[in-house]
Amino acid sequence: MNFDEAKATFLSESKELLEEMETLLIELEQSPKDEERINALFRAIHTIKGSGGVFGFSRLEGFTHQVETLLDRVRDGEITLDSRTVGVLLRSRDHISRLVDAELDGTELDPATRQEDAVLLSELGAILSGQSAGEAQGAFDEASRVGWLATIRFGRDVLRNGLDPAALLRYLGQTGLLVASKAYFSTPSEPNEFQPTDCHVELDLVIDGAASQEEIDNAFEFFREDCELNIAPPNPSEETVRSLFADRTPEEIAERLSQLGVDWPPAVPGATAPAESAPSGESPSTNGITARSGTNRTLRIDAEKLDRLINLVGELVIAGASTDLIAQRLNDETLLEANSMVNRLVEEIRDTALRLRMVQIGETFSRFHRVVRDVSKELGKEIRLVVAGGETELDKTVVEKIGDPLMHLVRNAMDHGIETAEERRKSGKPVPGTVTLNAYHDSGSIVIEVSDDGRGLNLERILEKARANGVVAANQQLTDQEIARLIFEPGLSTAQSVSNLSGRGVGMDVVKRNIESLRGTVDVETAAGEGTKAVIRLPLTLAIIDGFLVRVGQSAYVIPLDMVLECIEMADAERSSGKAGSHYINLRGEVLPYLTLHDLFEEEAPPQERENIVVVHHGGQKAGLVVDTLLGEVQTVIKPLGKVFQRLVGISGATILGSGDVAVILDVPQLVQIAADAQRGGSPAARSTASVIQ
Amino acid sequence: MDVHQIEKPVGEWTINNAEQIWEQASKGCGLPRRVIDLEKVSDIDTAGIQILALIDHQCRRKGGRLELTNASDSVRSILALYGMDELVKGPTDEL
Repeated sequence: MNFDEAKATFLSESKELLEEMETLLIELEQSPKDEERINALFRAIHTIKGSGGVFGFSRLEGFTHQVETLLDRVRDGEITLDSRTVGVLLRSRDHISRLVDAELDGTELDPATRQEDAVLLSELGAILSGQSAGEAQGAFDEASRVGWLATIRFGRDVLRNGLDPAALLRYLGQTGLLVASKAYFSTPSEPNEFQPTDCHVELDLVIDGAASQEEIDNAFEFFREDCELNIAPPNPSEETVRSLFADRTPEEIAERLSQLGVDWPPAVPGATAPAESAPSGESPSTNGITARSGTNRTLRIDAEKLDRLINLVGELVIAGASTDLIAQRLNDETLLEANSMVNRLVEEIRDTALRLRMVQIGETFSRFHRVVRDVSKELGKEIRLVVAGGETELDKTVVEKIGDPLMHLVRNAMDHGIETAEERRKSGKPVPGTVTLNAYHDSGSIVIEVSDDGRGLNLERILEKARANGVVAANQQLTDQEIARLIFEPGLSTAQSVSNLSGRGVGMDVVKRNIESLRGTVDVETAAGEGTKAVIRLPLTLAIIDGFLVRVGQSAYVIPLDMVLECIEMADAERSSGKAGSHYINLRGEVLPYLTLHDLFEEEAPPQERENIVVVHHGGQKAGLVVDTLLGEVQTVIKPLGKVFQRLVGISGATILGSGDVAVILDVPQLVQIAADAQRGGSPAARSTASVIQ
Repeated sequence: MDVHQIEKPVGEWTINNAEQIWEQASKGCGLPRRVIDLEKVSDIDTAGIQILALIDHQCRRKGGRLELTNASDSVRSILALYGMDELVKGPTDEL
């Protein structure tokens, strides 16, 4: 494996581990004593540290070492994972992610990251020394704030190795980093024991608090080996200071610090926490470098290879359909049997291949725990996330692309949906608001719901804004549902204040477009004072579908089989015409609106005598599609339409039949909507965008 | 005040010759008060500083002290780095 490959593996593994860490931390916040999770967390950080070390990523290694040390103590039960510690660990996790990127890019850390590095190390150190939250800021008050404190005991061989501690002092002085220094010579008391070429120097240093971690690293670079170097980040806690002078009495510590011009003990009393020894070094016993738990036998697969496989399977399906036609034409028994066997196997391969791309949406959902936690803290609202249907599987690409729209919907729910604690109390609601993510299968689609128990959409304001923007005509009457759907129109944010989370008026229409690009639909339900629910529907697979082939005039159309309910013959007499232009039939007592595809797609050939209706359904509504001939089931590979054709109404793709002919795949959701609207009295002409029925 | 010899070493006081310097300098370690004229000392590094520090320590143990004179600028600066420039007396100071 060459170096670049190794780095790529390191990156993807680290990112996976970091994701796992985030999930574990959120879970541990709720159950802080969970041993299994704590161990998994430790193993994750240990692996990142180890791998980083292999590549010589010293910044990463240095930082993760502190985190690992803390987690080691958590493992031993010495430190508990309270909210504050989890918060610091979450921020550390984010920081590690940034460090990984920087190390792989080979770039310098930007000032903000360096600052964060120092701050986090300080906070980790504070937790390690047992400081309570109030003292994490350090033992010194504003007036006597101390910068970096360092003690160095130089190794005996330093001078013989050609180094000179004076160079360090000179460097610190010249760069303005040095605030105070005091040198001690640990020379033996008997002169004849004195070894002149040994280095007997000890230095206590105070370095400017504004110095970055990197500047500190640079300064001490040459002296890290062979010397005992202890550095505390700016404004250290009392315990940290004590740990710098680990083997000295309090009086000695006081004396040494006063030599540096530092008041000790500090004017403001420090922690009453029990004294802890300096942070332990390497943890001796861990489960080895490979941290994966043994129960998961997974394989890392290149996504491109998988796509190629699925493409091939698609071609195989088409070729199979072609041989099918030939076999039928030849009408040879044995051939038909053999071919049917082949087709069965092809179907199985198809299903298996497609399932390779399926991932559980639970992975995406669980990332939202962190989002909800952070945002609710930011907003000062108490909000909990409930997740259901995590085992629901969908295509990998869909899962990746649905993340952003979901994020926007969740943030909207938190920002605008959930009221403040005050408001909720006044309306008798439980103070913690709830945002729910739910996923399930329904008639060939996967449904994802994002709901909240907040104040619901303000329909009046939405209508007002829509009228003001000219989206809705002044006198146009709209149902509540239609008003709610207006939020998907561009430029229609009605949020009182544009918070930095959402509400810039570009949100919901982008969400809708993103979902539509996945061949999905989105709708919204709302009840004043009770909450709002966004419903996303997505097709189960992107590549291959089972379809029902029909002929209209000269053209062939494919209707997705999972949306077909039944087929019926339609005698002329059964047709009824309602209001002008609408068409419906009486289907066993039910009103079934229908569309004549012949008219809709403007077929030239004259309509047949006997027509058939294919009854389809989507999202709880039914419609009939009037076609000429029913041709039976087919398996087809969806070929996306070129950009030119994307705005065509009622069509969602094309396919190549076994015969080599091109058939068009119908967009059933759209057609059902059109039929329903036509029947209700709206314009029967197709609109170029679809909104979905509830 | 004891009359004593003013020591006037020549050459550098560095890691390169620290052993020889110490051999010479350690001979005077019985005296409580020592004066070292650094005029001819070209260069001092930490090894040299250590020796001076030890000499000073010995003197103080006997109730005396070490005094340094005629230090060049570079020598003064390294003494200052180690906070030992108080040992240096200027040319006009009384011995």
